[in-house]
Amino acid sequence: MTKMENVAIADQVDESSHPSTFMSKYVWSQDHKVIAIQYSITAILVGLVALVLSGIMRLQLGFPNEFSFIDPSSYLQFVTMHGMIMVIYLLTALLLGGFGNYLIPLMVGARDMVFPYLNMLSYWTYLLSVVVLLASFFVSGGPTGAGWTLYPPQAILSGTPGADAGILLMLVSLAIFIVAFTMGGLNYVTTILQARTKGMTLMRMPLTLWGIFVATILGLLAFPALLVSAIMMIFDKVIGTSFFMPAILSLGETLDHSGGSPILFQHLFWFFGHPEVYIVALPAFGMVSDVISIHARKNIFGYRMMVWAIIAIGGLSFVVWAHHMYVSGMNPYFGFFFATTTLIIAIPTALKVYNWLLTLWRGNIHLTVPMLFAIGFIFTFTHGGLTGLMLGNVIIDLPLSDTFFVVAHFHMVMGVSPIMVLFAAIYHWFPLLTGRFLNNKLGHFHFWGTFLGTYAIYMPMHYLGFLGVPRRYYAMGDTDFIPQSAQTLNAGITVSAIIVGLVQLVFIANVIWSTFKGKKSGRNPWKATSLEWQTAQFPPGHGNWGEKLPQVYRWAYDYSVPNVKDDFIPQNVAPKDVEYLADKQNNNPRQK
Amino acid sequence: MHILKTLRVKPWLPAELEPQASLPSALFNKEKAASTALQFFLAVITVIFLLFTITFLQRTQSFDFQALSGEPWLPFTNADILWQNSAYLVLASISIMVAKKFAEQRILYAIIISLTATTLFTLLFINGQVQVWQQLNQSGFYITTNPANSYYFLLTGVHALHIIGGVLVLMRCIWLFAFSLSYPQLTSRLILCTRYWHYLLFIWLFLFFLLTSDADTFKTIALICGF
Amino acid sequence: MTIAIAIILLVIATLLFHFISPWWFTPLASNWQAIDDTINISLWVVGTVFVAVSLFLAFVVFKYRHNKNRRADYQPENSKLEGWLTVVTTIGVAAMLAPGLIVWGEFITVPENSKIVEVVGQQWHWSYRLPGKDGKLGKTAIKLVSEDNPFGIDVNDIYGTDDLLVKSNELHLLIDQPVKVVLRSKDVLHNFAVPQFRVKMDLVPGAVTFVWFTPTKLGRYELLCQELCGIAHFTMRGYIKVDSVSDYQTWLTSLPTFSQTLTRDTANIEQGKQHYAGCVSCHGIAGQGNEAMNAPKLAGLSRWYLQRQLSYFKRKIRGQNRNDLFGQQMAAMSVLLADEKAITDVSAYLSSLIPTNKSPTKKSPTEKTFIKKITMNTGDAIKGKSLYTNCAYCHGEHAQGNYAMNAPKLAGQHPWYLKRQINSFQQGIRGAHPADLYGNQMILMSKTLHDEQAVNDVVSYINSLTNVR
Repeated sequence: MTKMENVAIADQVDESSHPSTFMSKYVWSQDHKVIAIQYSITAILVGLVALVLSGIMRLQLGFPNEFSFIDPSSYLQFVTMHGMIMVIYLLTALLLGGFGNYLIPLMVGARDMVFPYLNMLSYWTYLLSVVVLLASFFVSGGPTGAGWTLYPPQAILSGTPGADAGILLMLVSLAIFIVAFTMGGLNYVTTILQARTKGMTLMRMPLTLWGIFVATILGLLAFPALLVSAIMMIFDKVIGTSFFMPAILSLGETLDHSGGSPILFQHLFWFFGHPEVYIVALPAFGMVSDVISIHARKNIFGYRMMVWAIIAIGGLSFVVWAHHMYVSGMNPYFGFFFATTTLIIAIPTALKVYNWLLTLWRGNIHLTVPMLFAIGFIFTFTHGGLTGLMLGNVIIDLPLSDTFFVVAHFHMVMGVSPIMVLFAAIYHWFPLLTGRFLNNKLGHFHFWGTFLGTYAIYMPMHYLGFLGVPRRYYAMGDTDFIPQSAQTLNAGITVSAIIVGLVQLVFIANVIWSTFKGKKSGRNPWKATSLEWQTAQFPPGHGNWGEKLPQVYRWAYDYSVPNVKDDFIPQNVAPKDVEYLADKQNNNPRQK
Repeated sequence: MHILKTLRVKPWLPAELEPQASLPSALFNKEKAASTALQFFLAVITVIFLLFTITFLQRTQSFDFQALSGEPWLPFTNADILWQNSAYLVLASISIMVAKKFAEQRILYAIIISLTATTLFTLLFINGQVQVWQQLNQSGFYITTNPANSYYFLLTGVHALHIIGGVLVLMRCIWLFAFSLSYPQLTSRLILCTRYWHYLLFIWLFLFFLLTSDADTFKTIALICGF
Repeated sequence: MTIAIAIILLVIATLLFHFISPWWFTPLASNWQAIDDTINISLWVVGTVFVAVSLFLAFVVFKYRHNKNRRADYQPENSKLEGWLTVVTTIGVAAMLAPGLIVWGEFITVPENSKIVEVVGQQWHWSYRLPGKDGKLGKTAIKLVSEDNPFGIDVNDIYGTDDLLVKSNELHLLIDQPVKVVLRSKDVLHNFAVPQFRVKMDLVPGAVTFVWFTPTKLGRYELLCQELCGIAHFTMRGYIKVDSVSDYQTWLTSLPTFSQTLTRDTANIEQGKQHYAGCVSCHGIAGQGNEAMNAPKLAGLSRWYLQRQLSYFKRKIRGQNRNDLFGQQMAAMSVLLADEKAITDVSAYLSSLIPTNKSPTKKSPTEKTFIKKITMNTGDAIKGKSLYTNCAYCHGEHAQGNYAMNAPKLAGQHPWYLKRQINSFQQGIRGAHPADLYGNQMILMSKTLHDEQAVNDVVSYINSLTNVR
């Protein structure tokens, strides 16, 4: 046996010297908080690009043939880049790279991630992947227009825009992103498993951490599928192998491929793609749980069930992937299996919704901006989840697959809902970053514009799907079964979309203004119990904690504990320090 | 089951009622953390090779698949050179294990010799793999001619990249040892390196078996896996 | 407070939208009533849950809104309640899943009395094949695909020789006859979807997939590709016409067998030359066209394109629109060609002529990409080049045309003619006739040229391309 060098965390005060220069403090920083902000800003900026792209797409759909800068190629390219950026480069990066990075060390009571250097590397690699991705806008042929699913053979054949440089840059960028994610992800899981402070047992962790933890494991195990398929597709494109390419023609010319299977790619892609949904959803579930609990001044209802549900959803998410492929031509008997597993996953998900509602039940609900977004999330997520039950049911998917119903469903459940949580989280944790609140009036305006606006976009969109309007069509033209009125509906959706897009500018302005001029929040403004609000310095400084690391004595949800003076007890308050209401001092508040 | 017990804990109860809930994980220990991270990293690698393998096995049943061994003219019916490469990798794995032992005992010259041996044998393995690729190309087994060839190049290539990554990490470790690392620090790093080498050896042996099987073996495997 | 009211209003709005709005499934035209029923069951279940959860949310938010004098409850969990909720949810989920799986079971079991039809997809059109009397389709292979054998049928397979080929976007089906649609793709993934039939399935290159249904209503239904298959995905439409028995028989007898398509197209160029004598006054002795007579250049165009267009004129598919003055003239003139044979001959003759050019000067192939700035109504060929990228997918980089894409050669054609045709497509003067197979595609694509300037630009660019064969 080797002698382990055990270093008590408390003694381990900053082995690395305090960064002093501007460069080492804000650019080549190894501080998880700075890296988190770098991640967030990059993700939000690239997300804005994707937002603009979606606006352009909506202009074409709402007012076809009005805007000369959108032709069929560029339309498909915008569709593809919008989808890929939003799912991977914005949501995954912001939720895990941004919030994960910021919150994990603070919430578990660590000084930093366990591998700060790797963490810094992770960000710069991520930035590289973004640069490579955006570079595809400037190469000849433009970015790929194969749809974010990148299905071969079309993705690498000349009938699709950007089939030369565009698709290669996309695949390379994804591979780089996966490397970045793996470096970050190893940090997140290891920090949660190995660097929790004294007393912070797994079951005392806030649900935010559980969500991020399980999502990161999903990411570590699911992203390899995307990597594998990207590598094989690059081989097919560049070297001419036939992993995914059968014997086919391309625009009338016979190609030298034979025997490959396009469906194989789809299996690999969705083996990544479905867990990806939960890589985005689980951190959102976790964060919204905490926001609801804190702003309702009530403990989260059914904490254990919430943890089990997160784990169950994470596990099940690996056995439902082929519900994206009901009409792909795979073995039709798979339909039975995947429809069943898909609908089973609805049960833990439904339980989470019930528990959020039951947390609000008999709470004392402060309708702050974060809480408004959280309530908005429950509403949109319920809506999106329920339409998911329909699509998951294999036979219902037949008429609805590849129509706008699918688009509406996944935007409701994977676009709007996580973004509602992201906004809730930003309004909630902004004081922790800056010591200031975001402006409340602008916040309300932002919430109502976003909440009502997005519902006005996606609720009616389901009905285009019922009608049978296919997705990814540049223009419908005259089609017998689609009435003219559908065009009016499309125009209405576009107007809502433009409004929602503009409302986000208010948010950006609010963030910039409030960072410098916002109302001072003071310490722990929401009276939260979790550790990130209990740092010695506020906002937390380098190394997070002062001389000594905090010790944890309780779970993160001691809100409104009966007979206790304050309506919250921070996790690091020892039982002997709890102040009870004078007359009931001797009652043990928590009997079994 | 420890984990199930953990998950059933009721965290809102005072700690004294739930003894196992109060277990402090107060000691943050960099070696243990690195070990955890390596476990997850190996899991990631496992998934990568597992998925490649599944796609490969499915492909073995397609009409245009020509296994690389079985008939006299096929390259791996006689796989001597691959056995030789395997031997290099086994020697590398053994020598790094030995290096770890010597690091524990703090015998400097032995550490240097064994780590040199590790590096040498690993590079010989890579060199051997490159030679196999050249031989395949010279005898007309190009990467695109057959899915079996494509997979051979792909899988051994990905494996070789992982090995090279390992060598780079080992080089950095040696570099640090030359300047700053203490013996215990070196030991704990070598423990991780050893685990990585063993694991990649295991993956190589698995790939070796897989890629040089003949058509009948694939048929049996496919039957068992239900392709 | 406001949020509670907002949620209630949103629920009401959603319900109103659902029951009042005119947008719903198109009327069913197949046997898949069961799919519609399952959707209705599911909608009731999820609708009820949606309303219940949302109203409960609104109620809770309203009732337990912040009050200084009240303290929230402390209730870590309630296993019994959670247990019940799990059970109820499971029952609800099972109630939706069970009928779904039963209907799926029907969907994947093809009835024994169903007839086989093969649907072949390729970028960006459809064609169809029916088994002959033997009831079996012949073997196919991608490497056998050629201009003479577009289906790639194996000539040596006896099952293939009597296969009936439909080289058209329109498929006829017999009413109340279950049909197993066998799906095959020549190039990329496509999807066979007819909204009125409810079912759909991908076409996968390298594999054969299937879908089955029974058409139950006479009519003509649009077939849409619903798997993104490249730039012109949105133009990949076809038609399924559901016929009565007699109409169906008529249609069947009009179809050529595979062996007939291999032999019957022998054209007589000499006879074609004689037929062409009646056309020279407008189109010119060398088929060079004449702007004064509004006659396009014909020399060197592909035979299949000329054949198709002449046949359209003759069958009153093209040149019937009131605004198509010159098309009407041509339709009238097409009576000079007595039958299909005459059309074949004259097409072959014209196709064999070497185009003589007045306007575009001869260039060597290496100069192909050289853009000569020709100002035709201020058309800018450089801008036109970027607009033309969308056209190049089918018409070719050098506007040389492509049989596989049904796209005629454009290089060397007179600019005024190209411009008029683009305008005609844009206004639906040309291509809107239901029997004009690929015209609709051009209508959709021509609209990507948003104004006259864009048309001029792209025409200038085409005009600058060398007339390559």
